[in-house]
Amino acid sequence: MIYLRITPVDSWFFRDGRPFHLGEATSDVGGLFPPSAFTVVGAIRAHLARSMGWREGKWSEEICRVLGDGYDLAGLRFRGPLLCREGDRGPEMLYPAPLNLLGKRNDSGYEMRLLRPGEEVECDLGRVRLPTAEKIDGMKQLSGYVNGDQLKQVLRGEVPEGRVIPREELWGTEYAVGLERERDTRTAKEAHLYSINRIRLVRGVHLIMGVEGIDEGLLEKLDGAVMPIGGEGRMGCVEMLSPGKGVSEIRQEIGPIDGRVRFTLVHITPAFLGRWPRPGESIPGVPGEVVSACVGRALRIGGWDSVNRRPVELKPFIPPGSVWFCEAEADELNDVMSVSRIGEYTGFGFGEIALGIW
Amino acid sequence: MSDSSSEINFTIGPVQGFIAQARRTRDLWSGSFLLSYLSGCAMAEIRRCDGRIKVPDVEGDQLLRWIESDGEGAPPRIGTLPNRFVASAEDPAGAARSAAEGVRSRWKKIADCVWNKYVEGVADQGKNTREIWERQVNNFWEIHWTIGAMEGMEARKNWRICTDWSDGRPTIEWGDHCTIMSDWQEISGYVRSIERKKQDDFWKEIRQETSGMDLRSDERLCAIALIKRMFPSVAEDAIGWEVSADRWPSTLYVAAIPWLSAVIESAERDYANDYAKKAFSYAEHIQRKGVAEQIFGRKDLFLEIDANFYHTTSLKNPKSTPLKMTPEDGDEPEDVRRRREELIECLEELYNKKGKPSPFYAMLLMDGDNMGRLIRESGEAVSRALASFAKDVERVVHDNLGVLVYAGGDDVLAMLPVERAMSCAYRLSVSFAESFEAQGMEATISAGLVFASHRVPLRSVMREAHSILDDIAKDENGRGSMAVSVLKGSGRYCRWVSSWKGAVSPENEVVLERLAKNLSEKPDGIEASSSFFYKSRELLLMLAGEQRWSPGMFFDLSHLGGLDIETLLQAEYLNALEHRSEITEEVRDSAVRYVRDLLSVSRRHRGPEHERATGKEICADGMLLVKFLSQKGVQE
Repeated sequence: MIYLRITPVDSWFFRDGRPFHLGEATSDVGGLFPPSAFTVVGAIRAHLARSMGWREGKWSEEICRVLGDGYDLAGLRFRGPLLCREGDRGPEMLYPAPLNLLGKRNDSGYEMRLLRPGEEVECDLGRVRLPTAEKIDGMKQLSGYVNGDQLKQVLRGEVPEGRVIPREELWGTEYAVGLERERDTRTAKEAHLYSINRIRLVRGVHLIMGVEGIDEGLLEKLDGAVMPIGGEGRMGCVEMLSPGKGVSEIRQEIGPIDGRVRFTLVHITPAFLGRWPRPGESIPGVPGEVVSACVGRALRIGGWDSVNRRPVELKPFIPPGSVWFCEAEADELNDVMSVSRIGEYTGFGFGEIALGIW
Repeated sequence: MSDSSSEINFTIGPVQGFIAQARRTRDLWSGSFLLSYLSGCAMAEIRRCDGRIKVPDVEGDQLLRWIESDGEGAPPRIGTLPNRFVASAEDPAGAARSAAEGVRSRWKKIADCVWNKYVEGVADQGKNTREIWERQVNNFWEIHWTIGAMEGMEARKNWRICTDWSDGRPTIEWGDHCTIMSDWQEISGYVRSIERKKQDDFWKEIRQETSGMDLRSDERLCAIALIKRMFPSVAEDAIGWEVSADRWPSTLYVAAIPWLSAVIESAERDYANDYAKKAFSYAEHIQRKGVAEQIFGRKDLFLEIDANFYHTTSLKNPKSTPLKMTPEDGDEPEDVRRRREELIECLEELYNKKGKPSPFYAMLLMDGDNMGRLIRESGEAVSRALASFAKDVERVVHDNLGVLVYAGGDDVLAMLPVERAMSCAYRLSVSFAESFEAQGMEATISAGLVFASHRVPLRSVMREAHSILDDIAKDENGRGSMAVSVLKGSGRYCRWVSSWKGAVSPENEVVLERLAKNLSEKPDGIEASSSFFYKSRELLLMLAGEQRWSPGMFFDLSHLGGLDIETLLQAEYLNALEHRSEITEEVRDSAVRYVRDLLSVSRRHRGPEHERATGKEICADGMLLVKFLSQKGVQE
């Protein structure tokens, strides 16, 4: 897989689900960041289609054969998008802080604890082992990012060293107002005023997206490209990383204990599951059953179907950082170890998980 | 708490997802009230199963009494029951299941009332409207309960799966989204980009059903937002009593309260009432009954008109202030335009005499600190303390000319005029601490206070209030803190945070408010202040070696060693005054005191859990906040 580094030329705008119609005043339209894989894949495919001669309307058969169309990716496969930050020791991949990591601020940073399945509790889900830990008074889930080493520690069941990187160290939100002016009076046109929240990445922070299945001639079109990405046609610069550079799989070696394999699945990118497993049920494509979980509120991802000029349905995705605590039979160990993506749209980059122990 | 095996911990959510996504103050109130009402329904069901509510103390609660059909006196109009509670019962799981069922059935009844009155007759003009409605109504609430110690509920909150999801996951929402709650489809079912006319016709019909005033022409709502919006008008059928929701002042009205008070207490009162009579004769549907009585305890014609009629900027826009015969589109006929000009002239005359009303109001959100731990350690004493605090909240808010939206458990939500909002927050924090002291406990409450222009969407104001309360006051600064943010139409103007202790003088005055008052009483001072405050910010930025200022930024100046910031800022202050006033000894002394006070509230004052309560870092936003308060938010 080849990895692309995408850097904004200025700020970016990735809007949330609020209606945004021409001719209607719309205020404070929020943003989604990192953007969904549909958005980034869409930008890359549109750029490649343009380089194959497309200008507007439906794609030609030739383009569809190479790039697919809609949810059909033909031979393409993507990974990400993930965040990367230039550090003292070179580029550092960042991952959403796992939701089983709790923390409380103190003078030296954060005091942290790791949740794991506790004793059975009777609740609205039945008698289940809810995720818990000792001495977590006043602690809350940390909504920032961890680096690869810290994620590996969490996957080993250890509290990570250092601190979680807060979002504001990676990007800021900028409030921007847009309007259309009356031609004669040059005043703001009624109902054509809107305000949006743009994203500005801190210097040295980039998006990383993996791509494979593109032939070399076409792939070259991406290196050094400047392409529109997200709303308002705002631009991103694309650089191809050298082969071998990019995101490596992160997984913890797992061994059976007393004939059982206890493992965690940590969502690195959002995942769409037709049904969210309940205690005792299994995750599609994953051996064993769910014992417990730390799952965040659904991330609703939709979009705009520019060919049919209509909104794409808003689907509930399991947010990145969510953690499943699972258990399988010892003889299913190899099947467990081979899991790297779950759910639908994995070809776009969704459903990527890291494997750990509990 | 003793034996926990019979203990039920119960919560209903999503709280922010239901309350904060509001476009009008009435939506905000409706969301708070409905959530509180549904929580009360769960409590009533547990009591019906011979259970007992342990936290909060509900014995004197008027809302619960009325839910149990046992109420006397005036029906409750404020939500007083929190969305989470602790109860006990002999069969706790059975009681919890009944409580959850109770919530679902009462919610369904409210939804049915709104459907029957406003949607049923129009539904066949929509595209799968009934299906969308049921999907949203049946899949909205997240009702969680655990049996045993409270830690179980903390653990349950980490796993947001719901037993009630029809499809085993949150719903997929097709088509166009609601203009208020963007995660949900609007109920006409049409897609605007290709079926615009059908969608518009559907909503036109609904607007006619709602007599036009309750839905704006650009509002296309999901079932949840429509239920919130129309609940007040079905309340009697849905819950058994009227809720008088037309008594809810708009944000613009709250902003104008000090001005209205000044006008009505002055010799201009008759002039103002004549203006109101004129406005009533030129426009329809502009009376806001009951609002004045609720806030001022009196009736006056001038106090009962739509707040847009207090502002010439709104009067210049026919869409904000339609008069009789104002067309929906296009220009007003000549005679209507003349009447409009007449109203504007009258209002400007009043401005000449009594000044302009402020376009800014304050949204106050407060929440007790470490309540989970306190409840675990001494649950029922906490209940008693909270009950005592709750009794005080409405009085304190009312004394400060504010409007209480919600007060349940340790949570408070209120709207206030700008001038007295910080004092009100501080008085509430004192009342909270005293209520706990009376029970032999120490406890603090934190606040998120947003000063917002009425032009900033309510949703954004609520988002900011939650964000500064949770992230800035509680998380970053520590418990017992107040975070303040100013939102102008152009974005966030400044953000300031302090512990209560750092915010008040030994005489218990909120220092920022005192400084602002001093400044506003010296006309020269205000003029000078603009350059002083901005120059000071630039100076601090430069000394700290930072490139760019952002609201809420603290500057670390420890590397500057012996540099005396205080003297430097005094010189800046005098320099700003130099061209306007003579620099006498008295002025010099006053500058010393003023800058000292400014610096004292600009330093970092953290909560007691931090090793050093007072830090050396300085936040320039304290000064900007003084500037904003001194101008009473008149300049947007």
